[in-house]
Amino acid sequence: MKSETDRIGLKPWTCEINGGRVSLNVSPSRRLLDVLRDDLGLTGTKRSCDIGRCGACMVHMDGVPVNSCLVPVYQAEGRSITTIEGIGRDGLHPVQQAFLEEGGFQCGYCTPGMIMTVIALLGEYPDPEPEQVKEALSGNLCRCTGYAAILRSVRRASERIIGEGCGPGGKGDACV
Amino acid sequence: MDAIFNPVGDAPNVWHPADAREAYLLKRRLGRQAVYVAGGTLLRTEWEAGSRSVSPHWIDLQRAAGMGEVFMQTGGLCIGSQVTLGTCRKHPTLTSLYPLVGKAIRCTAAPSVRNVATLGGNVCSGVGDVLPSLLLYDAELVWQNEQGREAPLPLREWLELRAAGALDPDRILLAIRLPERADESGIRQASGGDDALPSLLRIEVYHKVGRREAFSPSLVTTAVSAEIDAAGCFRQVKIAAGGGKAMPARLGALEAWLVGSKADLSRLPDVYERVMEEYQPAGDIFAGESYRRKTAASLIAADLWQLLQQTASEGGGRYAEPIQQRNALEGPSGRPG
Repeated sequence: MKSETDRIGLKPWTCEINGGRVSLNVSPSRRLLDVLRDDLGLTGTKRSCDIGRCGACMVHMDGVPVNSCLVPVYQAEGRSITTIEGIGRDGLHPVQQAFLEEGGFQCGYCTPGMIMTVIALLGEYPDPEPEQVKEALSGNLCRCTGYAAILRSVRRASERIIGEGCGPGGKGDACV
Repeated sequence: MDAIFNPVGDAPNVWHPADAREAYLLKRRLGRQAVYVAGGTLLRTEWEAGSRSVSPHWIDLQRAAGMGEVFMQTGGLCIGSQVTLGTCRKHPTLTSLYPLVGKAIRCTAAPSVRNVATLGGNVCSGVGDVLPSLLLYDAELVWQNEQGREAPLPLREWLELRAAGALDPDRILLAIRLPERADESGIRQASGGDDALPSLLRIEVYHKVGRREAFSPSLVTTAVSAEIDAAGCFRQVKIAAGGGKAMPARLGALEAWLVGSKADLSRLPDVYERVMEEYQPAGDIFAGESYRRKTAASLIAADLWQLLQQTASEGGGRYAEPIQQRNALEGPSGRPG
């Protein structure tokens, strides 16, 4: 005889979210975005286009950016997920600081996704070429700020990260 | 096999077969109620758009064994169908030996989507923007059926059979094989006979034209590879075109017409006209077939013009720089505001 959980199609699901182990009973076909927001209350990850075009729902899965609206939770089983809530817990991350200083946001709706994308970019390329920035941000749409301020923010974050020795293997305070 | 039995809920059942054969047998048993899911990015787009209904059974291919590696084997490079586009994009062997595949992937979606989407998914869509580059390198597909692994099938042939509806729809793509190339530079020295003349100059170019500069569905995609030998004749000409909902295809008649012919500017108007005749685009309300034909013809003629210009000005020995994605609409950034 099946349990009620089995009967309605739920399944135990475990992964690491923002450094902590999370176990839930969920339908494996649900979107990671919905589980993060609705089940775990991590509403910093934004819902917008639902088809992976805008980047507002960007999170890191095992360190690389993914659109959480495209990821069914079974694909995240056993993986490490980082949301915007997992960034800068001991003070603003250099990328967040740079967006503040350069006015890299206006309404702010796209900003969590932008921040997650830029952190991944600078983690791989601390001093990216303009083409690398353009490619990295090609999946993040902003409808009000304008990209000039966002690009300035990326440049400032890069300078700060390089200055504080936060490239690959770096140990500076801003590396968190 | 790990599966969820969900007789009353609305949520789809997700199945995790251990390998491709188990997945195939499962699909046969569940029939049209089931769908294979690799990265699932295209499926999600179609579900959200309402262009495809959500299947009650999902067969997850990513955990099935034997489809997630890139490795060299006798005769070329083998790419598992479940390898993500992101992994392909950064794979040193793949991008150095088959640069247009890397260029095409760079023009496909955005990095975050490519970290989930698979090369197998792009191929199986039948209209993926990577397909013209794979056609150019004479890629082959390895499939799994009920009996096991099938003999490799040329991608070109598979596309034609697919269009004719002559394929087992339950077969699973195991791998994409790219035939061995002579060297990494793409400039090959001939070994003898009629090929004794060394190639002077070679060009390999991929274009994607969309409505935006980046992360945009394609209107037209083209891939061109060509050499001019010391006698001033075209050789090793390969040309492929696709885009939108068009079936990507090699322009075989144009290739045959060019190979061995004198490489001079007077041929380019004919090249343009022959692309207009041979390329079969799929128009829509936003961009008709005529526009797409002209775009493809202009791109391909321009690539060959570039090759001729460099031959005239520099005398060869250089690898022509590929051109990046172009935007159909003029603008400084191509990004929406």
